[in-house]
Amino acid sequence: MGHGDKGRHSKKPKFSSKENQRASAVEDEDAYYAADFEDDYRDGDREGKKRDFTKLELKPDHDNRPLWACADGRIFLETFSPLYKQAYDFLIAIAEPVCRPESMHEYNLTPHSLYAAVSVGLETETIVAVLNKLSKTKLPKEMIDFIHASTANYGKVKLVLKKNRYLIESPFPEVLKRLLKDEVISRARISTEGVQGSDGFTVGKSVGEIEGRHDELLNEAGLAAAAEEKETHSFEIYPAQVENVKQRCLPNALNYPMLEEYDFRNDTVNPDLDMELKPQAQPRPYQEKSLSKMFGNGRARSGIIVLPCGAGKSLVGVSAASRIRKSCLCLATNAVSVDQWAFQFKLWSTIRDDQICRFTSDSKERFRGNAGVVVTTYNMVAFGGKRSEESEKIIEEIRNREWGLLLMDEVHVVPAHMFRKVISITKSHCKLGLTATLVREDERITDLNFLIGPKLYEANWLDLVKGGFIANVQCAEVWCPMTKEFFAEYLKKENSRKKQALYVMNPNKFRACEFLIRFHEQQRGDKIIVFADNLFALTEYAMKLRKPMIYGATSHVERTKILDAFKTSREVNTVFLSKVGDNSIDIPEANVIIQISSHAGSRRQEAQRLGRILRAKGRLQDRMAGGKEEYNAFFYSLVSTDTQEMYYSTKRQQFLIDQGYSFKVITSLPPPDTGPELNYYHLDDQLALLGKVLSAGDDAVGLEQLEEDADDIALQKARRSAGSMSYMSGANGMVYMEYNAGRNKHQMKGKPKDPSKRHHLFKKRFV
Amino acid sequence: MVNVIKGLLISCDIPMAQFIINLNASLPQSQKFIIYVLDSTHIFVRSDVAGTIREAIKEFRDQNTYEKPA
Amino acid sequence: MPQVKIVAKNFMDMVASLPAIKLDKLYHNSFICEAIFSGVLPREPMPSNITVRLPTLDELDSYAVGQWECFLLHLINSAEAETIKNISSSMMKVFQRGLLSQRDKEAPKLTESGFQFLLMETNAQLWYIIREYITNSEERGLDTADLISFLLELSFHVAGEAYNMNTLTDIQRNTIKDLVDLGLVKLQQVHSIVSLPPLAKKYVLALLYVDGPVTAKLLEEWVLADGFSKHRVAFDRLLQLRILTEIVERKKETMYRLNTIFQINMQKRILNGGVLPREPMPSNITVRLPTLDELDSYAVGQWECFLLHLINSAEAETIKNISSSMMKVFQRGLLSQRDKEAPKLTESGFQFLLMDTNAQLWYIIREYITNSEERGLDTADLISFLLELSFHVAGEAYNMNTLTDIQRNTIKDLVDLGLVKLQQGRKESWFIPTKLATNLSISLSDTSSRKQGFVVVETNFRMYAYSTSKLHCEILRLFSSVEYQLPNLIVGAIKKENLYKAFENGITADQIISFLQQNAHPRVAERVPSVPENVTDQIRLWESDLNRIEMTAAHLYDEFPSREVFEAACDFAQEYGGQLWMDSKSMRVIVKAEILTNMKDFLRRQQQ
Repeated sequence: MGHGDKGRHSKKPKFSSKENQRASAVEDEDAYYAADFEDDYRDGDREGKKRDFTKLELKPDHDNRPLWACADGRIFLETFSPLYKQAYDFLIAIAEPVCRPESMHEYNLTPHSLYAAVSVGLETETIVAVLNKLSKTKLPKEMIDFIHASTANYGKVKLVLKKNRYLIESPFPEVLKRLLKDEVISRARISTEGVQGSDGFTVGKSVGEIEGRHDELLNEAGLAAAAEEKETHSFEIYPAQVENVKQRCLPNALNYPMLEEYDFRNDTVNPDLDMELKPQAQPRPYQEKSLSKMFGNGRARSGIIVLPCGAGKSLVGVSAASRIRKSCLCLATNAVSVDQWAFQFKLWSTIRDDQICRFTSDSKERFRGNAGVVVTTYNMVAFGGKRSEESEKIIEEIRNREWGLLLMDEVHVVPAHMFRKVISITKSHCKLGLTATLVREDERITDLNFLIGPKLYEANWLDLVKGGFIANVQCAEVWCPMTKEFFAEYLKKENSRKKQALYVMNPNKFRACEFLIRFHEQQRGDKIIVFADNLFALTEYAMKLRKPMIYGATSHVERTKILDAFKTSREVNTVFLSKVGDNSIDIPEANVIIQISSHAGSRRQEAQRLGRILRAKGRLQDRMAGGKEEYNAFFYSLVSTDTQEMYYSTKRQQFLIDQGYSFKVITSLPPPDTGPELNYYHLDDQLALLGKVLSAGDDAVGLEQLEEDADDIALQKARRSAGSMSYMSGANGMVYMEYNAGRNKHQMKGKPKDPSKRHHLFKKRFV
Repeated sequence: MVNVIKGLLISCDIPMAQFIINLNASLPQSQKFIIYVLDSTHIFVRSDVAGTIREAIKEFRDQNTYEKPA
Repeated sequence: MPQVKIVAKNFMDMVASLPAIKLDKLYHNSFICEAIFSGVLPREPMPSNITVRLPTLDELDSYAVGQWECFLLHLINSAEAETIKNISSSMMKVFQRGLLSQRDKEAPKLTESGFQFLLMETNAQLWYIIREYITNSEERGLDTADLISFLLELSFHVAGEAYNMNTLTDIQRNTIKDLVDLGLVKLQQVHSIVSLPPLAKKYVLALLYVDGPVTAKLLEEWVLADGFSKHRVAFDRLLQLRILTEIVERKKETMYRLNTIFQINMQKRILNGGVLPREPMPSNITVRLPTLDELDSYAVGQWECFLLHLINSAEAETIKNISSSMMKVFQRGLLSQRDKEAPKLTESGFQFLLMDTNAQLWYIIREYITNSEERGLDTADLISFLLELSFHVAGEAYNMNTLTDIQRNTIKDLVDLGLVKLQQGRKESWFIPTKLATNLSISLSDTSSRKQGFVVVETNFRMYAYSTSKLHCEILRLFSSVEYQLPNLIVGAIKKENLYKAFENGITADQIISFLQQNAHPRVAERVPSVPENVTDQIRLWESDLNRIEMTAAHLYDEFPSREVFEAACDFAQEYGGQLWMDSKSMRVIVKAEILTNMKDFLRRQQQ
């Protein structure tokens, strides 16, 4: 959903102004996004066409209003307007951000974004009124109609988990009837006998919506509705069918997307967990804001909160758990993360040691008492093979418990099928997904929407930088020309599989890297991480420069040793990391990142890596503009010119560019007068390196493949060998993929590799 | 008697020179256009290949450049 | 790549740059002599045709109060060893005459008199300071009587009116600067009407009543030792404008004298004083004239429409017709047209579009003037009419019947440029000069302050232009793709494909970048850099990407019979600037194809 630029492909009229007209049940993805607009606004093909909205009428005081809204859903926001803050909060709640640089933001209004808006309690009229108030022009009729049409059905149906039973609830019995006309839903229904109310619905009472947001933007008191008790009708469905039913209700189908809210205060069935936030846990404004979206009406809403890396997601997660005060199942991507989350829970809340436990391949703890927090990995829960007896017991307990909160970390990393599994195995009242980026290469963002919930809040990176909450990073792309010999080999057809190795091992790139390391270590005393997802390169570089390295197969013990030294020792200032460094390792004290191998253009990975240095360090005053540490973090991407690496590099940067970062291009590093003080100065050395690269086996110069990286899979469309041990343990697995980096950069096909033919270095690891 | 050969002098940077040499190598014998490789930044080629070379360079450059879709 | 040359930025330059113009004719008009000579009448308040914003009386009052208070604060603060803003040393000395005392290495302290002074009433304070200032002047070597009479004179000037600094002597100028500190005077930089350099004026005056020729040496004798460069500038300018004419006789030293026609008419002017050849519409005629704002919009609209013609002619569309004389101006280099094809913008045409408005205007005017000869018009007449026009008052209506037929046609052409607006009365026709016309007499060097920027470029290569002008939209399309057009905003993206098209059309990266910088929206214009660095870097990188290989038609020469022949051939080729590459070890040389015949001849000769 953060990828709002998806475009408007559908040409069918989807919504009309008649409220009750239902969207036709169309299967294709396109229908998700588009609402058709009058043909006046369309001329010819889509490519690069201008949209002419000059006829819109400007209001006389348009200078004071911060945004323009166009009939096709595009919204432009001036950041220098005095109303920027409120306007941003409002827009992020109702629209998808397209790009948010310093002076002007762009957003897209989509059915999904409006669904998210309604989910946080915004009513249709509020949306239209506030948008109109903020708009420089009179709102185009198309947009008003679109909002009405999209939100007409929202908020009418709720999914409630009560006493281990799933109920579909609505104040409008006719809506329920309509739903039941659908085959999938009617099959999912558990019929009950002897109930009051017609049509076999159970009738009850529940609290209505409390209006609340954006009051300061509206003077009309009429829009603030009071809470009222409503009569609700409901029917029960089989737990196994919940997901199917939810899917049928989405905008692309029946268009009655269900709200999931958890009335935890009135939950007398599930045992309380007495934990509170400690007084020293002071949430920052944006953390507060995101929580307020989640708990807006006194209940807990399910959904996703998007915060940049290093901005304090864990505090948000722990706060949410502390408010709900019921049992919480916390899912992380790997064992190291599990440890960190457990640590964070204890750091920020009053939870006792015996109330929290970890469930990983190494630890099989249990908490004492009726309620508690379990921290585990997605893998552990989703694993489908045979478990140990102990694990089996724990999983059974997890399955049977009604969890108050399902806290999911790094939702953008986990493959969709794993989510499905986890969510279908567990029963939870409220699901909170935390992530830094909603960008996925496999386009499965939409899956997250219905599996977890809509986006509740998304922080603005640049605003956080301005506020001093995350570091102000200087991003640079260092252009390294290929040497003559390396380039000659790169161009040869017979070396097409070695292309990546050649542009990564480019001696000029090596020299640039060495120069930067020296500069930052010696002149500034910085802590440096060098990323390389090409293991061959990682090893060569690290060994030549005599720096420690960590990759998938590095043991837990050794990792700890290296990282401790990195944190505390003055001698160890640079560490080389493979892709493991993307997620699993917490290195709070680094402030320089050098990327020497950027493969296959994963935008999420780029953002993730940047996150390693986003944790703001130093005093706040120094970090503000003009302070002495205004730029105190550096992100270098080393790219070999005239190669495919340029293409991938630019592609990877798109997400960060949309958040407002800019990459400065540096073309002369190292300085031309540097000589043999850096490696590979002499032609002989360069040729020797070239020889090494050419003679290495094709798989050895390929990429490291880690289990959790769905983006890689999506990008390479490779097939994994199933049922390997790596599934069980989480992070330690490493699967070698051969890749074909041929001319066709869009389709990277791989084939499973015969283990016996693996490079000797890695054969032993694979048991 | 001094020998005079008509052609096109290409003056460029090292990577481009390599590219042109590679392009030449990939063609069948009858279509090869390099008369002499003079040094790492100069090549003497047949007069009629200016367009072909520019096209090839343009295509190569486009492949290496990512443009964000509209 | 050929660049559009900006030859003239003002009338002086233009007159000087035109070849073989009978400037004598110009100088028959005594008003013109005066205009070129002085630019402004001596010590008259600034004429109202100089359209620059002067402070209102209220603003001036606040300013004066502010200055005075700041001045007094200095008194207190010097005593407390702090300084806010520097005041001149002469003023400081005034303080130290009794209000402050200072011992070595100590901060100055208020004396008893100083404390009492602070409690005095403002007028009393002012007179005290002035008196001290005057007494102080003797010690500075100034003539007290002069100073007093200047101050007296000053008090008879009109508050709020602007007076030209160059009507003052040097001493008076320094005094004025001191008085700024007291808030008695406000300085304002005004685009000066370009006229002769001060030294040149002195020469003209000196020679005005001299009949016979003088030697160059005589003129040089008038100059102080350190003023030689100024002398040369003045001298050359006078020669360029043919105000000073040379008299060359064989065997005799070159002599100089004032252009007789100029001389006669200038004398007339000084005797008679002078007015514009025409008066504005008398106020008893009740007709609604456009307000200055309306006139400005009109002028801008006309100008933009005019430029749109340039772009659209190239796209074979016409909005509104412009006169054929104007079309010819375009075709002089901005458009090219082959038979049966639509006219296309030339390289110069593209670059022209990105130029600053004033530079564009001057270019067009110059072309129009050059063009006039071909139309059978007298260039000198045209220039003097344009110059006269620039001294009219913007917004005032002038009767068309004061114009000759030719002038009337010219006026109609100038409507296309937005320099004048026509207004039809019941019986008579009038023309109203706009600011564009009256600004012609102002120097163009400082044009950046004039225009409001409107473009915001973001780090993600998106561009937001606060404008609705169709012209702006077309110009932006030259190098970017326009995606949205809103009532007061144009949204576009700077993309490689658009830039490449621009480069192919002859526009350079620098031109695009300086267009963006010069037109930066005020909100981002203060930022350094006003256009994000990564965008400007990338534009330049894309440009250099296009020029990575150079291909030159050439011939390779080898198998030389001997080293001598080889070296001779290389030298020969070099003399013709045709040697492209050579290697002495293998005795090969590559020479431009253009000089093949020369080379062959040379080699044949070598054989013999």
